[in-house]
Amino acid sequence: MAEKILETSQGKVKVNEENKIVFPNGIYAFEDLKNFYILQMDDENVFQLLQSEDKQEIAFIIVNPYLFKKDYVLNIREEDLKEIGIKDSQCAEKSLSVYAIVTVTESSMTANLLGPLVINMDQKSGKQALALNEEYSTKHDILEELNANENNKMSEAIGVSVG
Amino acid sequence: MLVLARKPNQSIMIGDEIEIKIIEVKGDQVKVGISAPRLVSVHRKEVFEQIKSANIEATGSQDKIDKIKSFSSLFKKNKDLNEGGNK
Repeated sequence: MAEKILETSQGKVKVNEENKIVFPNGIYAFEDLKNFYILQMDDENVFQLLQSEDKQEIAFIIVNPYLFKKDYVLNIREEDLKEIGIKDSQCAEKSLSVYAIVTVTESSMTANLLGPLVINMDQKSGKQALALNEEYSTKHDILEELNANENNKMSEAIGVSVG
Repeated sequence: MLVLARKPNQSIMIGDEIEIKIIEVKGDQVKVGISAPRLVSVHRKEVFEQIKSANIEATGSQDKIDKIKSFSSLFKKNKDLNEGGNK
């Protein structure tokens, strides 16, 4: 069990190399970054940081999309799942985690459902896939979706479409 | 870049397995049919560009991380509501 210290933008963080997740193809626009750790960033365990090991000033805020969008459907190519060792639905149930990358700006907090991250937690292998649902965009307003959930008006709030 | 002139219903082969067929030309829009093996992924280029720029925009800095932490409590409320609703 090899421990390692990362010099992140959050300061020094101790990680265990066993937990390293490899993205063999990197993440779009960051294809050369292959090695990541998932770090907790709050007590509620809602948001996590996908922290790069290769370039330690780079991290992405990620969130489980089901937490803010109850009707979220992961619709990607089977081959994308096979690439990370998810062969069937039983395997998916046991090992697959899905995350959306979050973009925070001065006035908004949005999640990218067009390019979801799929991770095989057993094999520690990940990939950024492309959603086949045309209605998913890179900018789903998280608070809007949350409010829609609360009001049980989920479908109404999902008006964002990709051109 | 190789440029080929094609008419509707004519095709281009890329290797022996990928076929690009012009289905229809209407004004400034061209309808293209693509037949490719399942392992080849086919997407509009804009989708890649959108995801790339979203990723670049999303890289977390300390102030973004601080900001997002303050949102977590909203989720807790929502999670409790949802769990309550399922019982």
